[in-house]
Amino acid sequence: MNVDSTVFQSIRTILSGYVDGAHEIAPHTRIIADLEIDSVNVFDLIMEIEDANDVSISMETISTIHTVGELTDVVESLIRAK
Amino acid sequence: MSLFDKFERLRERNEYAKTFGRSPIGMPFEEMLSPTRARVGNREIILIGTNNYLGLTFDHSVLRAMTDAVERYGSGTTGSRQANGTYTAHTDLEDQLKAHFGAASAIVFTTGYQTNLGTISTLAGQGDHLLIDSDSHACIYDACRLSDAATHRFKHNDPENLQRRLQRLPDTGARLVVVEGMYSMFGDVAPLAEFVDVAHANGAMIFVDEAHSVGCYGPMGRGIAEEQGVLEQVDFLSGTFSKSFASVGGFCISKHAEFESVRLASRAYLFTASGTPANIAAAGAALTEMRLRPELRQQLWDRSRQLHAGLAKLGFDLVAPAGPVIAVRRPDEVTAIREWNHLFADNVYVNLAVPPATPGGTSLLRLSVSAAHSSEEIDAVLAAFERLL
Repeated sequence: MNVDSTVFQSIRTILSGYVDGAHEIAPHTRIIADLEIDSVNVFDLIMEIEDANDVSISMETISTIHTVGELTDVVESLIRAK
Repeated sequence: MSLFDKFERLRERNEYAKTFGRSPIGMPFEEMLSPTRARVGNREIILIGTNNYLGLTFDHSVLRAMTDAVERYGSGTTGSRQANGTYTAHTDLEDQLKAHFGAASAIVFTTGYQTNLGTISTLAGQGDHLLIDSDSHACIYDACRLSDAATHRFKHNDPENLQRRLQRLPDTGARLVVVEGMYSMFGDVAPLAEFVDVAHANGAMIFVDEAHSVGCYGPMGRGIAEEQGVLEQVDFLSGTFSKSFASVGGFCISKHAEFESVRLASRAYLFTASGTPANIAAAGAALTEMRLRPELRQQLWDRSRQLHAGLAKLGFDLVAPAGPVIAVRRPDEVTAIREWNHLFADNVYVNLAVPPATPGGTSLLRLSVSAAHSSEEIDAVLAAFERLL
């Protein structure tokens, strides 16, 4: 994935609202393990990312996503499929 | 590495809860004295956390129906509905439910959990889309995991959010929206009429779980769908026999006659023993009482309003307006566990509800009101809450 992509940048901006500034947000960053976002906030986070990109990510797909890069790839593929 | 290692955190939490006194998990009642009283040791406890909304667990006609069924059919069915486990008790109850709800089809399941598991997972299949409220009960989430459909969550009680999610879906596949009438933890009610409009306007069918609302809402006790005037528009309506029906089991009714096909495909229907004759007969008798005695609903609401107003006057943070469930929000889990123990020591049993079983990480003292509660019992509960302050 391209770190300069609009989708990655928008996801990084949204994620930064859920964590404190000390955390690095890179493609390899694990959303739950590294950023310590709990499951309640993950739901709000995913919904915000869906709304920002006008896509819908199924729960089954969400359960396969671990890193910021994987999340970006999923969102980009959903945008391409529209 | 042991298979049991994964439970260590749960065990630690349970042990921690015990350090406050009695464990709230699976606490045994030694004798049930009435719908609202139990004996624990040498103490008589007021029960206000049992989902016994109409107070029918000791109703004479319900108990009589159970004993008659045992004499006529025996203790158990020893088989599943599609094999040897369908008795006329089951088909009579399905006819009774169809008549009560004005439905084209009714299917009785062995438990309420299995009802949602067996219907939702079967109705929505490969290539279809399930849209569920984010505060859905565990059985709805489990149904989604069992289904081959893609599952999408929308914001709790937010029809506009559902609309956005429906509009983003591809044109392929059927769509099923799943909501609850009244949510069991907070006691808040769905804007069901709006959800029905949004679902149907976007080519989806709508399924409403009325486990906690049947018997309590609507002029005939047919739930939130009846209360909000959309009973005839709802595609599927499920319920349980383990609350207002004072028994065990579950049902789903539909205005679509084709719903009968679910009997042929639902694994939770096909591969489990059917409800015992006694349980099925009790549910039927309770349904008759529910229909013929609207005063039960009136008593339930009178007691609920008394309790809600009393708690509000004491300054407690109540999550929703008066209803069968009254949830008292506590600042944190430790406070909730400590107060649950104080209440129990004061001879009042409520439900303790803490994360992850609650939405939004909230800690609650959850009360469920019964038509069988006396005004004096509600006053006693309020006095116990006042002593927490």
